[in-house]
Amino acid sequence: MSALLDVADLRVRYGHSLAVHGVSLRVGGGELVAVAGANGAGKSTLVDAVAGWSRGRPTVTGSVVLAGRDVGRLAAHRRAKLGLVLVPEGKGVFDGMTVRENLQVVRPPREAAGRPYSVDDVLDVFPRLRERIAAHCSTLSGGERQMVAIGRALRAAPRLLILDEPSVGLAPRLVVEVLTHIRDLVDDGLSVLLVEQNVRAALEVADRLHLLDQGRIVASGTAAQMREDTRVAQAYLGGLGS
Amino acid sequence: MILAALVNGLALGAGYALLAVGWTVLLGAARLVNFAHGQLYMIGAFVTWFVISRFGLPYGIAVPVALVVVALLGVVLQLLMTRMTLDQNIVNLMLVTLAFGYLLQGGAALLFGGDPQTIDSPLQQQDLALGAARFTGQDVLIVVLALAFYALTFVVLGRTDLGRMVRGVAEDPKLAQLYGINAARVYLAVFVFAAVCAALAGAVVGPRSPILTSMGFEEVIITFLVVVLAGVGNLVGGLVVAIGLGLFTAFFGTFFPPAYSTAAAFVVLLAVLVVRPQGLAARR
Repeated sequence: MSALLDVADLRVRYGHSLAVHGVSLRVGGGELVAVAGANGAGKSTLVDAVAGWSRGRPTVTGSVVLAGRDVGRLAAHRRAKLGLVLVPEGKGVFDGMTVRENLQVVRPPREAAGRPYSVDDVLDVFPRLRERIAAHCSTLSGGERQMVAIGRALRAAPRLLILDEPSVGLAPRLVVEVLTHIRDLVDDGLSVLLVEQNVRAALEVADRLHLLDQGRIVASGTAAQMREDTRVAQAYLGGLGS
Repeated sequence: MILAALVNGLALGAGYALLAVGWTVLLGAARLVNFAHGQLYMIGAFVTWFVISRFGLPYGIAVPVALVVVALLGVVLQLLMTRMTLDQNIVNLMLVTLAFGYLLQGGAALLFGGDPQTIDSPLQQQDLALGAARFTGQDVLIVVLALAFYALTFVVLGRTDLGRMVRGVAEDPKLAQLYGINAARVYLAVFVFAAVCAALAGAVVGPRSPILTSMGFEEVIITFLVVVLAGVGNLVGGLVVAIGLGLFTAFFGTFFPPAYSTAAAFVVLLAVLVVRPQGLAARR
């Protein structure tokens, strides 16, 4: 399968501290690839660098190629216009706006790389948002906020959607709901790079999974292979054969 | 006398409003500051005067020229501050814009001289009356432009994609970029809009009294007061407070020495902020 996203030897450095050590990974068209690992493993730093986005000022080396085009030196908004859209962890919505305004604030680029979603299309994907459309985002539950964040990302017509810990802070029932929505989007042809601390949940929906530890990929495989991997089972799934 | 103060206060307040609308958008919607705002107002007035007196062009041509010149100055200033703006580094922005303001003031004194000048506007010579109230065409122009700019800004910020983008970038410029919004360009647009409003205020308020290159600082402080009294970002409140402040200044100047009117306005500000720290027109 030719890769939609091809990340090679990506290194992210904050001052003298190397947070990501030469990570390489690929995501194919219509594929859901998960990056899992413990807190502080470098998952968010990795995907932030892929999206060209950071709250700090890291030094990033290596290559990020999207659909054959090297986007590694482009600003975040340029990568987004080419279809590489990140939903960051925790803060993915504008609290000062309503749900509708959050969805309207993003317009699909003129030459949309992926499928352009209208506001109505987003509400079809997340029907729960329809009744909350006029509500201010500061009044939403964690699950609803996550849906708005993903919905807004869909409005940007992504070819590759990067989701950083969409299940964080959600009740188990909502984790399943959000991840099921994500899987449905992939089944409709979207490519997703999913960052998850919850390895068990990630394995439920991912096609492939990379395990990250201290900024390095320490294990990779299909979801089925990773479920059988004893290191994964012992460290993340609460024992063998879980 | 009361009627004259009322008319004068309305025109003065509308002038404050025109200067304050840029501040309101900058501070309230984009969370930026520009302490050179008053000097951009001064440059707007002086370029208008310069085009009329040096090239003999009519007022109607001189005003758009002044707007273009100040818009270009706004572009230069914002491009120099792009990184600070994206980081929303308010302290550095204050210092840089303050320095830029003093540079503009010095440059204007060098270019235009230190003498007071008069902008020759045909509307200022046009005396109008409504009952016993007497005013000039220039007063009407100021009020109409202030109302038009507030209405335009209100609609753009609240109802359009551009307005939503401005509010999104103000809330979190880094997040906005993730959805394809060029935050630097949005900041540039907001900054230039505010600069053009300041220039317009200078160009239309200028003909009412002699202009000096040293003006601007008091005006920016007074309009900052308007923005704070209204509640930061409250457009309708800004218009009401600006008109109210204009009326207060005019009436105060009618009954007391006008030299104290700014100090009196600040007494009002202090009193309001003690009673309602969120601003006079804010909802909560």
